[in-house]
Amino acid sequence: MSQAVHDSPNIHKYAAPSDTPMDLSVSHGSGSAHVHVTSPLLLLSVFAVLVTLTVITVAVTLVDMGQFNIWVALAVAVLKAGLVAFYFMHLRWDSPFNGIILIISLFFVALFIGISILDSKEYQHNYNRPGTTIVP
Amino acid sequence: MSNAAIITAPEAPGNHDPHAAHAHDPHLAHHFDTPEQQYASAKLGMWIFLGTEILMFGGLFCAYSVYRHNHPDVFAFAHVYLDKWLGAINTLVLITSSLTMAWAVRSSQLGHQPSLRWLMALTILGGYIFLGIKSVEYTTKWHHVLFIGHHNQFRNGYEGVKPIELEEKEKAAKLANMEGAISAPARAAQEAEHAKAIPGPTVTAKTSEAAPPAEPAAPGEHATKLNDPVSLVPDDPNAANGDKAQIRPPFVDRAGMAGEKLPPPPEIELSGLDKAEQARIYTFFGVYFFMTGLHGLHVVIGMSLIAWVLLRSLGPKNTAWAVPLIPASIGLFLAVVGIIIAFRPGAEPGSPATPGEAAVANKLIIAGLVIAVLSVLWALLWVPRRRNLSGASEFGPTYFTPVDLVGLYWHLVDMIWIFLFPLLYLIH
Repeated sequence: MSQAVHDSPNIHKYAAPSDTPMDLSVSHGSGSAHVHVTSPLLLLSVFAVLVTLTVITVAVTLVDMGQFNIWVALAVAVLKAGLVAFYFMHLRWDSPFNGIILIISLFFVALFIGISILDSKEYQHNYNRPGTTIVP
Repeated sequence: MSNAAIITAPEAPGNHDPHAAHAHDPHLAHHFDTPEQQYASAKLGMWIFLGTEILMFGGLFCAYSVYRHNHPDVFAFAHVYLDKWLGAINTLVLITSSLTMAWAVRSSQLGHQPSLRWLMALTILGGYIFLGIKSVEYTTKWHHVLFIGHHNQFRNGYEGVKPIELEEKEKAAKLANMEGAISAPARAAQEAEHAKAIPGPTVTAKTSEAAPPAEPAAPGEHATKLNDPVSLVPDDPNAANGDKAQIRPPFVDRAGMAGEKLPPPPEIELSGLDKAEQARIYTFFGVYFFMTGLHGLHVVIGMSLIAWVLLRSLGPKNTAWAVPLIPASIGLFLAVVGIIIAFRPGAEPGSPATPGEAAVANKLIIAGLVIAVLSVLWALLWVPRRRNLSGASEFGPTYFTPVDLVGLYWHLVDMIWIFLFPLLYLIH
């Protein structure tokens, strides 16, 4: 953002429409709104990477890696979701607070799932489906 | 807030020439100082909402994780009933629609109206394709008795595991047998015999696409169906497979479900999933349908929101017809539901609707048509009055918040599917 924008807040804040990526950010001292226009090249690159990762995640299931299959699949999914959040959802250029909200949500979901699994392990070994008898 | 911001107080609305700056902006609410502040607040609010969405889906992911952690074999067994290729295509469809949506935000920021409209329309089209593929999958599950609750053939246990209620049914049937009724086990045995008489599908490969629910039958196979006197599903393309599960739709007679089992996928059978574990398979389908169902609901909501923003981008003059269209489509929907209830295609051919059903159907058809006609009258009176309004888009470089926010929602829907796809379809 240029100093000129800082000094003349009454001048129209936004640049004229053009086809090039630009930083339309303005600052008012009281928090700034960063308006970033994503370039087509970046959008298409992210899309290409997402498609490639989808192909990879399907292809990986054809290879038996034992218990590592699920972790590879999850890692690819996290990478894809990260790309979507970072570029398609503009988090890269956003106020960091928006990203923090996302991370906090994911943290609490992870906490929820982790503790639930720990808890269920405590009783699972002596658990039988109620109302079932096993017929030999 | 720094002193500088106070000094620049002329920003406040009314303190300067309304055309000089965007304080004149009709979209600027009075409790915000600047459009930038309003935009940042809107985006923060949207992110907090998306956080609650993640927490809501987190509950379902938690159910999934606990269940899979404790019964990994059940998931390995059950997931072969899902078609991973349909799931992969749907993933690509959603990623593509995310691209068009992100590009639509760019277009709105630059004020490129035609591309904004086309890209949002393409995004909605992506949602339609996704839901279309999803409906194909759900329909197949329904016909294979792999739905939720009582509509899942694993609900009553798989080969030998008997829930208490089934045992009680058998006792009751034994008592009734003295009066000439057929007992439940005898009926099950009969149906099993009958199922053997019909050639089952040859399960050849180990891959999931060879699983019975995976593919609809080729058109040519319909001829086989004509020779199958038991098939009660007139238009079921899968009925031609001769699959035991497809002989009778589950809503005809749930009690006979014991005879409607799918053959288990061979390689999983060899892996030695014990019978108690097999009986838990129906819970996998519960998890599957709740996760994909809630996600599908979000796809519908996202499509509706994008359609709303698309209408706003067309300007009030061009979208006057859209407002009466909403009650008109609701009315037509009610009428169609009434017609379906009245004629019930595919349920029990030839059986007439009961008097109660017919009454409900008549009410729905009449009410729906009245609503539709009133909406058309409203449109005829109201739309011409809107001719003088602006035909310009609301969105441009100075105001694109709605496009951005529905875009965020759509991307979240895409993100959740990115996790659902490997977790449900690609279990190894």
